[in-house]
Amino acid sequence: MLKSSANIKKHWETLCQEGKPEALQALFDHFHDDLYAYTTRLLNSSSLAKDAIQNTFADLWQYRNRLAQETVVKAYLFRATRNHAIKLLRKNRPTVNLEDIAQQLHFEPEELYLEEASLLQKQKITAILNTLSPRQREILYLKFYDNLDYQEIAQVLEINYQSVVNHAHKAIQRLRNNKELRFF
Amino acid sequence: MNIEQFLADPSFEGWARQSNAKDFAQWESWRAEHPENIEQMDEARALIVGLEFRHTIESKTDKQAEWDALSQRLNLSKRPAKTRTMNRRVWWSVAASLALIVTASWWFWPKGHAQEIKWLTATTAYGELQPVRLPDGTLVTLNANSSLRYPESWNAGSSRQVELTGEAFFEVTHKTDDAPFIVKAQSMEVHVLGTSFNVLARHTSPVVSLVEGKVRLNHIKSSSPVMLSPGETASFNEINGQFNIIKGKTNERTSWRDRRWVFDHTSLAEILQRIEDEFGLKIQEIDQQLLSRKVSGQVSTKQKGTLFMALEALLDVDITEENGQLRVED
Repeated sequence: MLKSSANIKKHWETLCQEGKPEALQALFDHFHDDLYAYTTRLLNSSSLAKDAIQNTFADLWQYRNRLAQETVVKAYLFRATRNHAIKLLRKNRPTVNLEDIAQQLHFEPEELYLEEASLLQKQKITAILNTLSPRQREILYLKFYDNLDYQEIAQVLEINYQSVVNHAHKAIQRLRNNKELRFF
Repeated sequence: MNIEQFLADPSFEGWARQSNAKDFAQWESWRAEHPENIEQMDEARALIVGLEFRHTIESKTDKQAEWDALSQRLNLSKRPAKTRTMNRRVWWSVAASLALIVTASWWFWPKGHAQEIKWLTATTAYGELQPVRLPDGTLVTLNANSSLRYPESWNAGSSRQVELTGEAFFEVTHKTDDAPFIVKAQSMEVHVLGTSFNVLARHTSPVVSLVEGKVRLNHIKSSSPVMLSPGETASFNEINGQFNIIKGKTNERTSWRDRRWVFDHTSLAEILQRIEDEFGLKIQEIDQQLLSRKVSGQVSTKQKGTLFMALEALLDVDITEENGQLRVED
């Protein structure tokens, strides 16, 4: 984990300072699958997700000389891809409501990695997660699937840290209220 | 202590994740001394540790194909980019005429020869505007005295190329296979991903104005391409070999579609050039001082007569048209 995040930082610096295509490709390789999974579920469209990722990395290349070197690369890429995805969605459906974003975001019981839980318990946990508000779901998705911390999530969603924690706290309380499912 | 205070303390994470023995021991003893905080502490731990979800294979896509598409779009591949050497197959051999050529006959052209792509040319006369629907659904509004060459069909997945002389406004249809759309105008190339923009390619280097979406510009004399954002207008400076990009004013560049011209400190010289280009009138010799006179505002171009009247009022000049000649006097 540490080794990989140090590598990411190095690739990022190489991209900023030397503008090497190899650095762009290394970042693309490392983040593509997670960004794709996230935006596909966020907008319920794999083609919008692909476009959003392409646009994000095209921007990175275009503005490589102007990128800030001290950046949380992961949070930056998630935010940029999310913003591109929303832009594309609005272009396709100009009337789309911002609150509808993440409406489709969901958790899959089979994807929950929790050895001590049965499939039935996993189904119950994801059922609760899937009834949370879109915002709560998106926050927990970024936390649970992509291992972002709350500061980083605040950056991705462009909302303040306190409100991220409040949303997450309420969601966690919902989960913990079910005594049968106390896995944390 | 409340949740936020737990989260704000870096050592608390060492306890929650059991990743630091010292932190763990400290917080364990604190916990024993403060039983009233246990529920809060556990909630804070749950917030930090959370649950772990891992994506299954189904939610993945072909990463390599996506990278290939991106590196082609950014011209990163070491192979010569395919788009540079346009495959000129069989060209439409008829010279561009003044009438719009969309004959019925091409519909009946034998489809058997897979290699032969038929090219069509749409041309507008002076004073004429013409919408042209391309085979992929893209809508092109062709300004007066302009022509557009395009193939009768495109293969799925291959790049969509057209050639423009004059001026046109493009509303490009986005393909699900991400097939790029390329406008060649003189020595410039505009690469497009689902977007709308204006290209003016008459006298000097082409001028591209982007309304929405994203385009990439290449010029044969430029070492690197440039990306345009909505609201930006770009032209290529032949002297220093760089693109000039200015923000705003795209409205001025695209208003011709509504048969309106919008001026913002526009010189009479530019306006007269446009009249020559789009109405086919020759401008008679004119006082040089007059040519640099600037004007702001908008005029209708639906009728030559009202256009000239509006210009007379805006510029405080007399305009007379005689036998295809235009005379402008103070």
